[in-house]
Amino acid sequence: MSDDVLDELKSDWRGQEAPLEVLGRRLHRSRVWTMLVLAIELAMTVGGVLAGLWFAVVAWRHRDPFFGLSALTLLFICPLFSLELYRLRWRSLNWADRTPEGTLRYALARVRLARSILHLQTWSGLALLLFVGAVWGGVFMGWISRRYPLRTLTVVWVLAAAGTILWSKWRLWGKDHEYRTCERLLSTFANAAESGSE
Amino acid sequence: MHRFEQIIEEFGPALARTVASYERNAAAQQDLLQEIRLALFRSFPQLKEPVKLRAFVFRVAHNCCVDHVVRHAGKSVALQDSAELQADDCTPEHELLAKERTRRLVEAVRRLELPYRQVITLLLEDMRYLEIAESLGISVGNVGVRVNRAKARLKELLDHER
Repeated sequence: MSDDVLDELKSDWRGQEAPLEVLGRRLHRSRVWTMLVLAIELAMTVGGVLAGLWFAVVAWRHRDPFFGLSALTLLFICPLFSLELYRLRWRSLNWADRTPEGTLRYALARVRLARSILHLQTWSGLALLLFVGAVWGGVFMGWISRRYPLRTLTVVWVLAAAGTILWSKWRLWGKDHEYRTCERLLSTFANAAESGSE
Repeated sequence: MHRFEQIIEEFGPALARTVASYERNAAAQQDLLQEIRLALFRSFPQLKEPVKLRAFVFRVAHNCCVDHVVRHAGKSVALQDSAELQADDCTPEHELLAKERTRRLVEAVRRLELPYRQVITLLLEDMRYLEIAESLGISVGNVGVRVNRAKARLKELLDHER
């Protein structure tokens, strides 16, 4: 392709239009979806933390280690949502200091961190399920009194654990996709950096 | 008028074309443009040499676009959006032909691998090799290599579309 041809292509390239009215109509839908996801994430975090705090108050008032343990479990799991949320929503202020490859390496590190947090979240959910199993095991063995509102608490625990695991798995699926994309794009840059004889 | 607003006005069409080479979906294009504007606003104090403004603006824009590609890796691409953007029933024949050429070029550019897409879009924006090198943080020699490969690949893609 000669430079003359490229000069001709420049006029075609500049013939692109950006009809803002079409863009504006579609913008609303994507914003609504983004806000919805954010609202779900925040609701799960706030709901979990509030339940944890309530358990903590009950544990303090009644000097009850059982509720204390439940509060600790919820207060440990739920802020992880916020942490992941914070990491994913954070935007770099240093765009001008980076190259495209640097941006990809940064993205790769960000995805790795997000995946670690999500794996931790998954394990937290599983730990909560194990805790429920241990509590009911203790009840059947007669080590834990049946005076506790165990059925209600079990529903809360299982919902929290299932929600945590499903949510983490869903996010992990997306993060795995991002990870593969980063690696694929970085390999294209590595190939392009090879000096050729052109 | 504020300097930043002048820059946005001056580079607006070029930034829109850059975004279109990364993203087909019209709504996502608008989101990405807004992200670039925000990134430019935040990065603007870091511009030490005003003579390198073009390289600076395109560097920020391409970095935002690369990050966008990664973050939207799992999402499907809405092909109909690009057709909708081009639709105009009342256009005279020569305008339609020009639009068709533009559509084919944009489509071919989108199919280039990222390193080649970046140099070709910058080249189509009339940037010199030195400016491209500053924008992408690579050597002028590497720009030459990438440009040659990008041109060859673009020619293949355009010939294939004919």
